[in-house]
Formats: sequence, C-alpha cells, structure tokens
Amino acid sequence: MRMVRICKWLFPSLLFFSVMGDLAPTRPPSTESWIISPDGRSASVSGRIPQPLWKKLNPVWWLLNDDEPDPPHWQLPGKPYLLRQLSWYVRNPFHNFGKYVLGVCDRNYTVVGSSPVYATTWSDIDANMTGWKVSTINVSGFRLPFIAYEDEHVIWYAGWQWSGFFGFKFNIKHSQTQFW
Amino acid sequence: MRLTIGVVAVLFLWLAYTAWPFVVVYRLASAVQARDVATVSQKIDFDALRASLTTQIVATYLRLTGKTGQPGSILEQFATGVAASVADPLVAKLISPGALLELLQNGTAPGVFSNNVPPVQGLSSEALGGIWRAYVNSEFGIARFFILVPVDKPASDSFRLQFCLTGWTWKLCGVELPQQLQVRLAQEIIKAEQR
Repeated sequence: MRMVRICKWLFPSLLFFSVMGDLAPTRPPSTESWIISPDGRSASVSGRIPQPLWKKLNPVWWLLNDDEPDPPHWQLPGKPYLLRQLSWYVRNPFHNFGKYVLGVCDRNYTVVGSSPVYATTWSDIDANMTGWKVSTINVSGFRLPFIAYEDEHVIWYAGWQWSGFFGFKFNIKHSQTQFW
Repeated sequence: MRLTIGVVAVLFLWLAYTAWPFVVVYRLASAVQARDVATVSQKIDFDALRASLTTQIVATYLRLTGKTGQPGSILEQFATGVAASVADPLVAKLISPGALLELLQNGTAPGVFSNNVPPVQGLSSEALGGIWRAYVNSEFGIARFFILVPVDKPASDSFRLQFCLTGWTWKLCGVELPQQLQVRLAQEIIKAEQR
C-alpha cells in the first residue's frame, strides 16, 4: 500500500520534471578558452555560459548528459536506439549533476595546483608517474579543493577537478573488483 | 473506473507522442517539395545539423585518405581535428537553407560538387510512403526520433533523419547521408586539397 502511494507521487513528479526539462530553451553553445601559465601551475578559463538555475533544480536533468545527449556509435551498436540511449545514461549517471550542480563546469575561474594543473591524475600524463596531486579552483570567492593519489596499487581522487567537474574515484589497479 | 481512465489517458498520451514527430516529418517533406525555405529553416537546428554532417564527412575523408590512427589515440584526435578544419568550408556551403533543401531533396547542393553528380532520391511525400511504411522505418528514443527516407531503399542508400525535441518542438538535428553521398562529399575535400 505504501509502495502504491509512493508510485502515485513518483511517476507524476518524474513526468512533470521531464516535461519541465524539455521546456528549456536551447542554450547557445559556449566557446570556452583556456590560458595556462608557462610553469603549468595555474590555468584560467573564460567564455563559459552558466546553466540556468531552474535547470539545476530539476532532479531529472541531474541524471542526463547535456554535453553528449546521444550515445556514441560504440555504445551497444546495432541495438534499438532507446536501449542504447538508456544504457548510455546508466553508464554515466549524474553527469549533469557532477558537472553543473555540484560542479562548476559552467563557470569561469582560475585553477591553481600541481603542474601540469590540466591533468586530473599523474597517469593521464605518464603511466609511470605516481604520488599526490592537488589543486584548488577559485570561483566567486570560494575555494574548491581537489586531491588525487596514485601509486602502483591504487588510484583515487575526490573533489573538484581542474575542469570544474565534481567527482570521486577509488580504483585498485589490475583488479576486477572496483569500488567506484 | 479510475484505473481505466488512467490507462486510457496513458495510452492517449503515448499515441499522441508517437504521432507527433510524423506530423513534423510530413510537414517538412511538403516544405522541401514546395521549396519553402522559410518553413524548412524553422524546422532545422542548424548548429546540431552542422555537427552531424561534419562528423560523417570527416570520418569518410579519413577513411578514404587512410589518415586514421588507433581509435581513441591522440593521433586519431589530431587527424580528426585537422580534417574538421579542412571540411569546414564545404560544410558551411551545405548549411545554408537553400543548399540543405537541395541536399535533402536530391542529394546535390549548388557550388559544392565540382562535377555534375547524379541526383539521389531524398525527402519527399512519395519517399515517405504511407503512414505504416514510415512507421516501420522509424525509431524512437527519449526526445529523439529517427526515420529512413526513401522508405523503399536499403539503409545504406537512404537518408536517416534525426529529429530532436527541444522546447516542445521537434527539429531536424541530424542527417545521416547515404554512403555514396558521404564518399562524394569527402572526395570534394580531397580535390580541394589537391588544387
């Protein structure tokens, strides 16, 4: 009985937020550009256009992927489009939430940290590099931290990446079992 | 009673949602046939269409010239970036409403092809066939709709039109060109490079 009551509210709410999400006018494409300091310790981004607040308050929108709404060709090729689309959203859940709600990928800012600041982890640059990597985004008077660590066994990070994406990860290298 | 009303309402909404993009497709086909540039322009998302055409032409150009690296490699990304800039003048010519109208109708476009190329059957009311044929050749996604035209040709010889639902309007946001047309357009880039 309780389940029925929840469903009675859940489905109309989902429908409502889906419809509201589609009412959104198309956002003009942003043309962001980065300026990186010669020593690679800081980078500034400009030209980003903020997402409207009422989109950020829509929980259905949190689950979607505004940057790549259509599945790439390698996502379940040959299968019905709806299945490919759903599996794409499941593969990257909370994309908009991580980028634009908790994240600051629609804001202009300066990020300062370990050189080169435009790499999330050391293995993005060189598979043999290990150790700590930190950075801080300075945006509208707030300081948003990021910390990453990598050695021969694990790789993990948490916080706001240099791109503005908020996320966390914990992987055991060369293991089938992964936590996040 | 309430359950019945609920089921009927859901069925009605589903039918309306299913029929909606077909109305847009038939209107677009009529506008293309009537060469009604204003109506065609209203039904196209030009930024998205430009991206769709660029992706296909660049991929075919790289395949024909063999300038591809390992999938996902930096070399491949670099080659794609260079090819996109090379393809840009050609795509810019295709993206005007008049040129798109020609492209959708018969696979040609003024000022794009250096030689006379045989026309390809594209979008028209006849090419869509009846409602059932059109439905069989269509596919739905969340806020996405795809249809193959002409309906009586194999997929490789058809235009696959993609419509996106934005702001309560279905708009043409992608066109997957017939393979022979992709090759012709890529060959035009190669010719332009050799000049």
